[in-house]
Amino acid sequence: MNDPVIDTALEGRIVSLESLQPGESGIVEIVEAGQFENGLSVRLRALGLSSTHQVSMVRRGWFGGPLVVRAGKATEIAIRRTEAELVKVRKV
Amino acid sequence: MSHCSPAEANLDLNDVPRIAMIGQPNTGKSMLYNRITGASAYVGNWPGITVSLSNARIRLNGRETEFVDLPGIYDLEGFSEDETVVADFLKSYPVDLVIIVVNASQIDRQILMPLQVKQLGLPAVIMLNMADEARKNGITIDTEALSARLGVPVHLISAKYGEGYPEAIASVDAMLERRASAPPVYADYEALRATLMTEETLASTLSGAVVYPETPPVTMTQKLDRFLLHPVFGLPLFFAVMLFVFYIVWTIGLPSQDWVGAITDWIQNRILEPVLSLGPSWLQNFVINGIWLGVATVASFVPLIMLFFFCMAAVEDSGYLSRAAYLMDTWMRRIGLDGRSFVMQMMGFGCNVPALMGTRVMRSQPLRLLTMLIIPFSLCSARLAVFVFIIAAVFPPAQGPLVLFSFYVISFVAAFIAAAIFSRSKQFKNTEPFVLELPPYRVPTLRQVWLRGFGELREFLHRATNFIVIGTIAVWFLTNFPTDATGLDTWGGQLGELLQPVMAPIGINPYLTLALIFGFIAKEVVIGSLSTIYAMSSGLVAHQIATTVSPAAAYSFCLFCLLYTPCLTTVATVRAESRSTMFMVFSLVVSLVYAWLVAFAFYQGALLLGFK
Repeated sequence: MNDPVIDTALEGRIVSLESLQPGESGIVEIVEAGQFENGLSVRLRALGLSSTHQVSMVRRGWFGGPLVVRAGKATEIAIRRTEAELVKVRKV
Repeated sequence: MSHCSPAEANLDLNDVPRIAMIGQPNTGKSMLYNRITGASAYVGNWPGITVSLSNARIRLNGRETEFVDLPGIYDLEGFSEDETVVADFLKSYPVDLVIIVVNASQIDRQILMPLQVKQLGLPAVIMLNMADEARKNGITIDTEALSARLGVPVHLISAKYGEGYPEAIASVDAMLERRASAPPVYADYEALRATLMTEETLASTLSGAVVYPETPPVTMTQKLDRFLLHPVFGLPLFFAVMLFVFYIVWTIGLPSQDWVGAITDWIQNRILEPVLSLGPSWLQNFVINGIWLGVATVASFVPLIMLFFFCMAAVEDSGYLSRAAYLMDTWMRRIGLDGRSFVMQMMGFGCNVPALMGTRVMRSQPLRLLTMLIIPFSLCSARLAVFVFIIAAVFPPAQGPLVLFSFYVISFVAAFIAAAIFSRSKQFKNTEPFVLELPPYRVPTLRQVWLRGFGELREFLHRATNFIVIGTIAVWFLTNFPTDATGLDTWGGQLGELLQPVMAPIGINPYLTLALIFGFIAKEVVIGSLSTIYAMSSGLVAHQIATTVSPAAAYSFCLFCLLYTPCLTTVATVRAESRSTMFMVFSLVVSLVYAWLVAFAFYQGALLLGFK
């Protein structure tokens, strides 16, 4: 268990996108594959959500509904919480 | 179909320059395609490609050219169904030019696609669409510098308002001129995979040429979303909007079916019957009740489909549909669907056919199929007419509205249960991540709404006509032979008798079974056919049913009517939209079995409880 990403996560600097509160933002570190293999990270990259890009939480749906995040300069994305769980960000 | 049949081999050779249009979803690609091709687009079935692509042949500056509209995709290397379609197309069919449509406001990320196309080795022209929006957002783009850097022409345009459009098209023409003697090219995906494109590649391509404002202006979209995506008011507002659309389709679309009916009746009475009366009577019967009935049924859907797609195009272009999906997703994901499935399910209450066609907004095929499977359970207006007739004949007036309302509830519940069951199977398991772009709100233009409605209509006519006419002819044979037979003595009636072991346990007599067979064409036919079946005037039929059919049996009949296939047009649309005869058969079997089981449970339950 010497994964540097997990180590940093344990230090509390890297959190999942899911855990951001509205108004908070972070820099995308890595997108875990989960059940989607490369599908999720490729899709998110095309939507402007990839390493070195800033992402901010706009709103969180009630009753476990999807999140709305702003990626990069001008793209708003709705993403399910289970998917947002897989996106790890460094809080800024 | 993967071998080289002669027909396929011919498609590989371009007799005229072929121009493919690609771009991300929500870039206005289709709007640009519509502007270029006008009303000349048609749906091409490309061998080996799983979804149908629109294409059009138009003259560009005196040169005959072919435009192909590829599905909107996020990434050329992506894994989704649409992305595979584009890759398959570019690998199998050579193109002479690619037009890459990019949303100018989002050029920071969308520049990826032009860079990928360059790696594929395809000649290209880049169109930065929505120039007006980019300007409003304070983004400045130096197209000259970008063009020099990428080595391809770059144009700022607005497909919506036509700004910069003539220059962009002239540039396309110039590119074709320059490539006139060069052979068309296949995409080289090997080269693309061998290149690693990083964030730095994107940034360095744009640096200096594209300038974003330090603090982006607060947009109208942000202000509107505060209300429209509100955790509490969002959903009620969405339902209000849907009800409004539903109301428009209902109050204008349904009467329009009567107007078309009046026109087709007029043609039948004034032209067909006088002409046909010269021939033998069986010919008259066949042409009128066999072929013409099918044609008239298709025609009656024309205004409804136009109107529905006018409304849908407006809602979709405004950007609200993705928000609706966001709002409903909270609840729909629990049964394996997503928000858009619900929108279509509601639309199905007007008419199932356009709702089925509307599922095209979904990108994932398993999700689309699952949605198509449950839409036919929506209580459409034609079934409503049957229910009103039966309820009025059998139930006391005071209970009528309650009985009718119960069918609406059952319709919803049946669809949800079916979705919950089938979403567990692998074929209907949505494997795509739910990541949905929420485009800014835009005002739809009349031109776009018109072109969309018109295009969908043509597609519907193109795909459904033959199927329905053949189906009507088949039912005509069933109910007109042997000659001189009426009612239960016809082949159809015999079939009704034959089916008694199956239909008796759900309380449906041979007469009503025959009506259900008629109802396979369209539910509008059911009531009319009852007078033929009982061989008495329609006023007497209601009386006859009231005396011979118990309330429990009548309710069971309505349940069956609600859940088995709504009409032949729906069946044809399911086949066309899924592009699979297997799925159509599956959907038919599911609805028949489902209808029978529900009716059986109800009828036997009612008998057990002592109802007659």
